[in-house]
Amino acid sequence: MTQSAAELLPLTPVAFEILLALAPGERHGYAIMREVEERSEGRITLHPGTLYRALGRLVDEGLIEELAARPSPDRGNERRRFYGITELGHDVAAAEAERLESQLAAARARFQPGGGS
Amino acid sequence: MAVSATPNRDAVPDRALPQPPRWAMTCYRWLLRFAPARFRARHGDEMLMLFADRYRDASSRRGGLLYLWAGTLRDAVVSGLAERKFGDRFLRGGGNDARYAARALTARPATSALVIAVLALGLGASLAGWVLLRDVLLRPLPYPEAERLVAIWDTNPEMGLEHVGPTPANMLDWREQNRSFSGMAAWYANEPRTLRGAGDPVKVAVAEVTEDFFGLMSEPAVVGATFGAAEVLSDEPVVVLSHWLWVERFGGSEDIVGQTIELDGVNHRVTGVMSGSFAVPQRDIGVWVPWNFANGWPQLGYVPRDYRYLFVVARLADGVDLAAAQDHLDGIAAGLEEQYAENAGWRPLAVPLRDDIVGDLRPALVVLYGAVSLVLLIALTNAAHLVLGRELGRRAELGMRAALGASAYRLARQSAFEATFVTAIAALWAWALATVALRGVALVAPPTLPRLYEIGLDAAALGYLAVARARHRRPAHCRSRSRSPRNDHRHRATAR
Repeated sequence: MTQSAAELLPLTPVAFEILLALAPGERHGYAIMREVEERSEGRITLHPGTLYRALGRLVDEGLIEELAARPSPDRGNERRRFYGITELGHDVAAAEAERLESQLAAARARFQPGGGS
Repeated sequence: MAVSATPNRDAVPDRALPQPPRWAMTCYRWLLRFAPARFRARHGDEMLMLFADRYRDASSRRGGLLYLWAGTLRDAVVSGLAERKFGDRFLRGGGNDARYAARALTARPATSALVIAVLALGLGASLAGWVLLRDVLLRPLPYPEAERLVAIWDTNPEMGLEHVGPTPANMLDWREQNRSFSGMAAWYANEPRTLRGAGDPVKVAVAEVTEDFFGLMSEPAVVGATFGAAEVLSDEPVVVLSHWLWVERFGGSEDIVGQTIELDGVNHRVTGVMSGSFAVPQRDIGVWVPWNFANGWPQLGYVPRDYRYLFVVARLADGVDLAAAQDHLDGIAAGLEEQYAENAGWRPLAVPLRDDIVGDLRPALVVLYGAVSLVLLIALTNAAHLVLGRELGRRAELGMRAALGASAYRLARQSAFEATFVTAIAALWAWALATVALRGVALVAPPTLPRLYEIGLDAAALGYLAVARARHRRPAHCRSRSRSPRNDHRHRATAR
């Protein structure tokens, strides 16, 4: 599993945000969008096209899975398709976090006076 | 990298959700068409619901819908085309088509050269005509607030005279009595004087100007300073050089300021150099020297009221229009007419300075532009005929490609490459031709036209050329769409 996780790195920022949003539990498209928007304090807005292209790719790569559509109480009980993170998705997101962490450490050591790794 | 603990959205209680208007949903459904059908089948419904959610959110924020539509439009186009792999599709095989198009053009060098020559001629003539029209007729004169500058002439309807230089004494009276102009100056382009020093003696055109001339034009010197009332009234021989004389005769050295040059045996101190665009009264003026009316006519002993030869220019005061200024001038002239017998029947006439300079050229330039536009039209028609003739000779080849499975898109793309090559080469030649033509025009143009030195090709001219080229390519495109599906490959191949 670690081998295939490494092969899928690096993730695009949108893919990483989606995995982060799905980490606590299953969500539908709108909930993912809101979560990403709130977490990034409005810096990242996922429009439908961008969001569903990324969701489609993540499903195809096996990082998330599409669940059966079911009513969503927060959206007037319309039937929504929910997405959940897979085990592979967890591993890839964790590997990506590690990768970013080592980058961050290197950047801190080199660009910030007195900064250590 | 911990995930922030936000409440799960699913847990939010149900609330009444107003629906977005039907037209908005229809618009978004249309925008979804940028994406391929398989993508719409997979995500279309969810995307519509998500758009509706976002619409509801945005409509509760001030200006939110504007941002929503702007972002949605961009997103639909960008992600839709990306999903279609639009860029990949164009790039894949594009290099081959470009090579093939180049080979097709060089295979028939005579026809290609002829098409290019015809197009270059038409485009070049049209481009030169348009640049001339724009720079001479449409642009304001290159002086600050040039639209407020007026020329003042004397007219005498009884004698049928419309364009006579005012007299010095009248000009002084107008300047003193008027309230419509913030300034008034006069000049006279006198006999050329002999300039000695710094090389062989040479005759230079001289403009004698009154003390407020440079102030009125609001044109500062680019090196040193212009002269004003103090220098003129002190009768010290000073001179301002034109840019071209400064460059040609004095090597563009700034040290010239403060030195003396000899004009007709009299030493003049150089106070400054004007910019290259300053062409009053005309482009070939080499130096401006002060003209003090107080001692301008020593042989007469007074300022004459019957010598009609001045050039007078004035600047409209703030808030005064030309008609009001003319009324006021008429009033002053009526008073002067009663006072002086020399003024009987004479009336001043103020005209915008630009009209005064380019007015006579207007019909000629418009006719010229019309003529070169016709040349362009003829050139385009001829080029289209040549291309059509060439394409008819390639029916078999293109028919074969279509039969072997080349799509309409591929054949059209190759045609587009060929047309682009031809027009790009023709445009380069057109540019060169127009440059030569405009240089020629600058040599023979009337000397009163300012800024001819800077008439030339620029980014806007490039735009003009692009539009003119598009006119060439457009009919081909229309024809290729109007063919019947039957025999499609043949017509597709021939029609361009």
